[in-house]
Amino acid sequence: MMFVLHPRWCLAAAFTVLAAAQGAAAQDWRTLESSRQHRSDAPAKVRVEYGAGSIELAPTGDAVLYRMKLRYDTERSAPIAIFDDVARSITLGMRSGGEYRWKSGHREGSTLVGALSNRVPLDLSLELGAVRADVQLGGLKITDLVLQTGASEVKIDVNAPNSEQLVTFDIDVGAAQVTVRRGGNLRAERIKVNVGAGSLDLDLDGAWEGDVSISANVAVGAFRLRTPSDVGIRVKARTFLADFKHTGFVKRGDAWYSAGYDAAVRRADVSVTAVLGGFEIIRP
Amino acid sequence: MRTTMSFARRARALVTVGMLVPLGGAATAFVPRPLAVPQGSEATAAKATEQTAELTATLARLASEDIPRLPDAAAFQAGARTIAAGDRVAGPVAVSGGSADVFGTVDGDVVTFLGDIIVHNGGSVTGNVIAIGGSVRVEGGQVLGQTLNLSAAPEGAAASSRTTISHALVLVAGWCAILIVISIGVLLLASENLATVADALERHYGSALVAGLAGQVAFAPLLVAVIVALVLSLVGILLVPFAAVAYVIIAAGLVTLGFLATAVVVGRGWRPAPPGSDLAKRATTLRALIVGILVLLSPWAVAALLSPWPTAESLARGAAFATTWVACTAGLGAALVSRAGIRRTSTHHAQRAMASAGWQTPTPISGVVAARRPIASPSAARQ
Repeated sequence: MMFVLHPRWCLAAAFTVLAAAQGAAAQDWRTLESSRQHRSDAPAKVRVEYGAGSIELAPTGDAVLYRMKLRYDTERSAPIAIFDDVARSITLGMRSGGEYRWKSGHREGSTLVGALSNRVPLDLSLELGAVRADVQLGGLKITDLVLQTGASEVKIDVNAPNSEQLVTFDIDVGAAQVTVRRGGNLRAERIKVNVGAGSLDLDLDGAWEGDVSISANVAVGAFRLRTPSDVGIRVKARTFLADFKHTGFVKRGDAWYSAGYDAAVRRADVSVTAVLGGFEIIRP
Repeated sequence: MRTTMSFARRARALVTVGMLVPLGGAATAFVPRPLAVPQGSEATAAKATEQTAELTATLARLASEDIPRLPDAAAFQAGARTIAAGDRVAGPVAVSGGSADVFGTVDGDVVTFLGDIIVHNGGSVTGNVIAIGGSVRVEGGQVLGQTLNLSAAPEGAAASSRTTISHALVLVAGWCAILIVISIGVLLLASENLATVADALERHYGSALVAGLAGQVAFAPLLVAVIVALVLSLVGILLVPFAAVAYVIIAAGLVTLGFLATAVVVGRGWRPAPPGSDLAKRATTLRALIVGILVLLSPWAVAALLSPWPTAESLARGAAFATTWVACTAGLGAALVSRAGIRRTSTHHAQRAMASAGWQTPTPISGVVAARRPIASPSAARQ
């Protein structure tokens, strides 16, 4: 049997569907703008939870504790803007949810543009899902920093020194690609890294002093550590089918030491456990 | 009563203008306007009811979101409201269809629906300030809680549906282009294999489907078996990554070859191949491939066009997935049965044709064109 489909019919059907589609709402977009006036210099706990889309965070010197503008699709997500006055905790962002449908791959993503006060000490936690993130932390007062990412592309830049001593910088990289530029400006005492299937590029350039302790677990991903030339590095690496290039390092006991480690003013003690993943230290 | 007075007033106005126009010499400029229908209380009530319904729906939607708690619809007062300087009002102050001006103090939240909130200099709100479908302006006042602007109506729905359709169609077109490029490569490098797999699929569709299913089921266990065997051999441990990658590549190649063979069969069904030279056959196969790919991807295009309607899109995608899966499974089975087109069996069509008396009849030495020998493929047998 021979099927004859006249091109005019195809065109007519396509135009009908397209014309009808103009009136249909595929996504229900809303905007939420939220802020809080700066009334106290007491420390605040900030948690940014963001499921999917793009996010931009930056410091602000305005008289606000935070400011957020979120554009989201009510069909798939719900905004979060909660401030607990007693605990001085802020939860911002967007939670993915809504009815599950088998949808096409491309959808217009949500966007969040946020600003955090540079006058208040912050215990900052970023929980990002499938997100493209551009985070500027320079000049903030951060006492603790947690970054948890799923399948994200995260760029963090610290273009000015942290006004506070950062106790712990906790990075949990799932299947994400995370880049931290001028991370030394965070002035972290301890950096904890977990890399799953993603990659982390951590640059320790910046104004920090003393010692920093870095512990890293790398599964099948990659961890690249960039340090300034004056930083002395000691590495304790436990690897299984993983690659650790120790060119320029000398082994003493169970650790690898960079040249000039003993005389260095700034030191990084790195402890790495890598399975199948890659670990690399890049020094100029 | 009001209507009567309005008529009288308008009549007086008309008379006055009628007297003045000749004096002013602007008679042509005067065009009497129809009398306006007075705004009845029914229209106002209908508008208020509509706004209340909209407010209720919006509050119901926002109730599920992690934002400060909003008052019930019944708490909203219609029209603008001003909290005068020196006044202290217990919140929440909820206003619908008008703005809220705060000069005094509100102990609690201030919420507006389709209206702005202005906290003037000296004004103070101890709770949150939330404008739904409006904006919040803090002009020197104090807000101790959060400030929120929420949009009341959806934004840019039509534009985003257009974007969604166009992106989905571009994705389908991209896949189509990739498959056509692969088709050309296969035609150039392995046209015989493709023809053999297509013939195997056409002859034994049922068994090809079963073989394809079996192949899918056996994919993972076979991979595990290969890896275990290599590990047990000790020497082969180093080959495990290569073997795993090679296994996946071979499987992907077989599925692709099978899908293209299905496309050839579908394309032939759409427009059977006319007889011709080898080059013409290749051109015909390429045309059949393109037609087949377009036919097999058309359910995905339909799903892309239906993307503004999520339920219809889900159904269409399900149908498209099922179509593609059947095409890949049957094609994989045919590829497995024909060993990727390497095993070329003589068909019973060809055997029957070879045994026919017409072929065996001696050809005269001159004056008659020699009969063509039948080709061992169903498509050729049809000719």
